Amino acid sequence: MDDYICPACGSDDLSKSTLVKSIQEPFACKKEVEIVNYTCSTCGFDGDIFKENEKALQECIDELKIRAVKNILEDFQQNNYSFSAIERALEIPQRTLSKWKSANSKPSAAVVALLKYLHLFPWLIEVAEQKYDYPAAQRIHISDALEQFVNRMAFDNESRELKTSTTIRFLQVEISNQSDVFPAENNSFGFTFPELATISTGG
Amino acid sequence: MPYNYFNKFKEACKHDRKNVIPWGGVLNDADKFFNLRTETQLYEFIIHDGLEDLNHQNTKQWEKNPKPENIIMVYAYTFRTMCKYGYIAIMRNELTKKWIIKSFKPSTNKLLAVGNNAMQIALKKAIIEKKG
Repeated sequence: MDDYICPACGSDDLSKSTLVKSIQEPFACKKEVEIVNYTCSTCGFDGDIFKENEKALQECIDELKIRAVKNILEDFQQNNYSFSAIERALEIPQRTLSKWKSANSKPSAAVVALLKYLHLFPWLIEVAEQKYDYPAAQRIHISDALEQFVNRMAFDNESRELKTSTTIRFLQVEISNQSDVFPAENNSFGFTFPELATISTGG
Repeated sequence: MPYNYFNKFKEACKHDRKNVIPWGGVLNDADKFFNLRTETQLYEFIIHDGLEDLNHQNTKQWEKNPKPENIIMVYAYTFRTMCKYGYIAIMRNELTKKWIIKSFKPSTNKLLAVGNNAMQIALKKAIIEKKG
């Protein structure tokens, strides 16, 4: 350990304390880790002078990443995604996802990033299935966006039109004014917005 | 020179990490705003030119220096990383031989953060358009 002095001002008026730091990882819960903190009462500096926290922080982050990978893969299983089908689409060796799920070792950063994206945007699996073909990828993306869009709109069950009382009233105006923007014969889906409304309400 | 100073700091981040110490809140801000969670991640980001469009903002004496005879200057820079603008302040105490990262946070001045060149270009353009 180096000299017990403040790195900023050189004073030896240092006090050591421990703090609890909360670490968060997307798709894993929070974890708290105890860290060491030195405070200089002469100049007000505070920090980890002797690099004592780095290891504990890294271990905590690694543990949360393992948990995130497991949570994401469990979520895939709960939503009836077949691991072998995903592996086939992504062209990764069979049993890879199972290994990631059961492994207690630190997953690579690339694995964690890939799984987070797949969890957020499962339609990326379909893009891979279509061999990353750009027009197909665009169609899948837009199709998913439209589905999300329609699911968020409120329709009247009887008239199957947008509810004017909702906060998205402007959408109805937009659609009725711009029917020429989305003509069925020109869009890749072959239907117009009122038809989408029909689909959404199950009519 | 401010840019030489920063290069020396980068060298320290590369080869002499035990003598580079982030001030208390720096790691929290680096994590919160730039997804840099550990000291290692922060130093690797600095070493590998993560601070794009680095611009020297100012150099001031460290106001809270309890030993004014040992002058410590704080060098402040703005930078960009993707669409985020940041601010970094560093200083070095020649007696302790330590580099201190005093601040690493989002920049509050986006105009300055995009760089003097961009400012000059924008000003020239505005003058030309005004002249018509």
